[in-house]
Amino acid sequence: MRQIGAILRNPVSAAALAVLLAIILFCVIYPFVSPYTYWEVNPGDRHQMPSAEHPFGTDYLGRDLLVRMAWGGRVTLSVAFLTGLIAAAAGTLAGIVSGFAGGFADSVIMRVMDAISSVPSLLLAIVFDYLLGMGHGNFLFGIAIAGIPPFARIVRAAVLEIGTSSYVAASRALGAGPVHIIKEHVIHNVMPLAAVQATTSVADALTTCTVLGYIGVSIGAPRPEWGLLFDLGRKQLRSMPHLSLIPALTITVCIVCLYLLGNGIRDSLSAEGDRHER
Amino acid sequence: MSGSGILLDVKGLRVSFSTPRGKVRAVSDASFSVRRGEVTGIVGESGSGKSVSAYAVLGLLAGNGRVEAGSAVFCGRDLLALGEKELRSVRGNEISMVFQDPMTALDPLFTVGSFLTEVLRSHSPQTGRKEAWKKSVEMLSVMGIRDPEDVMRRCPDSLSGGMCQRVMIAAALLCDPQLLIADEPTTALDVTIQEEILSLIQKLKEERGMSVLFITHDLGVVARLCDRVSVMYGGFVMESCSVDQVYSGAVHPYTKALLSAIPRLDDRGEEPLAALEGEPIDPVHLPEGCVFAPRCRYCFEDCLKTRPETFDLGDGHSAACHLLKKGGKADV
Repeated sequence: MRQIGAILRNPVSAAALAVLLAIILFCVIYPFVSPYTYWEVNPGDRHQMPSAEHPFGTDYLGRDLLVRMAWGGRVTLSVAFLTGLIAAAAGTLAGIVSGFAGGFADSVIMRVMDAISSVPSLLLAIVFDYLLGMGHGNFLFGIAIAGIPPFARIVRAAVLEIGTSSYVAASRALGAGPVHIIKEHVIHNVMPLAAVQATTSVADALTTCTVLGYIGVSIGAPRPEWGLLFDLGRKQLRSMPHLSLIPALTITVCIVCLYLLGNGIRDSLSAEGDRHER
Repeated sequence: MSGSGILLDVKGLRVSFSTPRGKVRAVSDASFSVRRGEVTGIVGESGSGKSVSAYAVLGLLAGNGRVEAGSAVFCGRDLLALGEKELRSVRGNEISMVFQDPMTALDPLFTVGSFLTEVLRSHSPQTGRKEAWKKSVEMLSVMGIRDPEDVMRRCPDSLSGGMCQRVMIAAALLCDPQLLIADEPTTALDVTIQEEILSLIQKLKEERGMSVLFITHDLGVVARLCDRVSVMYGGFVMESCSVDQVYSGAVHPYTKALLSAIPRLDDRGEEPLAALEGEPIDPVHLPEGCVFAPRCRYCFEDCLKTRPETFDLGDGHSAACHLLKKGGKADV
């Protein structure tokens, strides 16, 4: 796909993508190679400063922060990406149905979206976690549902625009049916917009997930999560700032990278669009 | 008029759009026909209903548009009575359409090659990829494109307007339709490219015996290309005749007004160019009488009261004007 090529040729988005991939790869691989585990308590090694043995130091129970960051990343990042994916799929579907059906169905779908976005995503996540059983990551559904409305709105607007475009009129005049038009023209033209929105959506989910961890709604102790790690480190903020700064900075870097990637996708797509004018 | 030679016969077409302002009568009474192997032009100013008539024939009206009356007989079938599914098999296969703005008529995400092969393969699924590619390349070279293989690999954003229009015409003709509807296909192009596209359509007509319904507001283009012409105003067909009759013996005041508004090369500019007084009609509130009456120099009592019937003047020439009832053809 030439679009992906264009994204990689943009140095900023390529760098952002590289950093994200490096963090993901680290979270996946490091727990296998590290001599420590996230649950092993070492009272003798409590509150160590960063060293060769413990590059990020240890926490109040003597657990290695680096390996806990990797495990935490697995949780945080998979929640973020999974919810982004669910929101993207459901929102795109809702948007296409809404834009195509129009009329009553359109009104109903869009009012449901309004209702969802009127509830703060944090609250939605906590409610889902409570209803479906706490400690199993059920807050994920709440974050995913909160992510649907922006997708649905963007996709619906795009569908309405594409539906009245000349190329759709032209392909109808050449005998194309609604299935062909949705499959070829609408989905292909909506994809880039959805991709940009997806990066925002994943970043939002990441924020919500870490905030939830920070206030104690997480996948269940002793399993770490970046927001939870930040909360634990916060208690030694004066004596050992790295315990909270490292999770906080990692979260920030991930969110910034996601936004940069989204910007890069949008820029490279609009560059594709007006290439012939240059 | 020989009945067998008529490929598409539209009679009494009436189309309206429901809008917040009220019901817009885009086409009130349009009858025109396309004969086999001929180019029929529909001429009229913006809002005269010429494009809407063509869209209605193919069932491509926007959601709020409705065909209220009339028939469009094509090869023994009334297209206006067909369902969407049957119409879909007519579109592209038997009747194709090309549009005004070729630059936006191609989906920017697809290469010309994938577009053309897709058109071909969705109409005849048994066609293989290689065969579809070969046929598309052939069609592009028929369109006068010098390096068709290269164009096949390009995206629309790297093609010029004229090139895009050739690609669109190629796509329209891939499945060998009997009728091509061209909705102002040269309006968005500059004059030299216009001329090339017109010669292309002329060539296709002559070599392939293709029939064309050509919608335009340009009488110069009509003279260049068409065999017959129907002049539309305010949703009515004012006059239908052969192209020679338009320039030599037009009888309808509107046709005459249109002709006198064309600047001539041999005109020394001593007299100002004739312009038609007044405003185009409001399609929500059609006048009771002739729609052209408010702007017509020859308007008299009857014109304001009743709609004129269409008079057959023989030799395939017909016009809708009250003056003809008075036998006043010559002095118009």
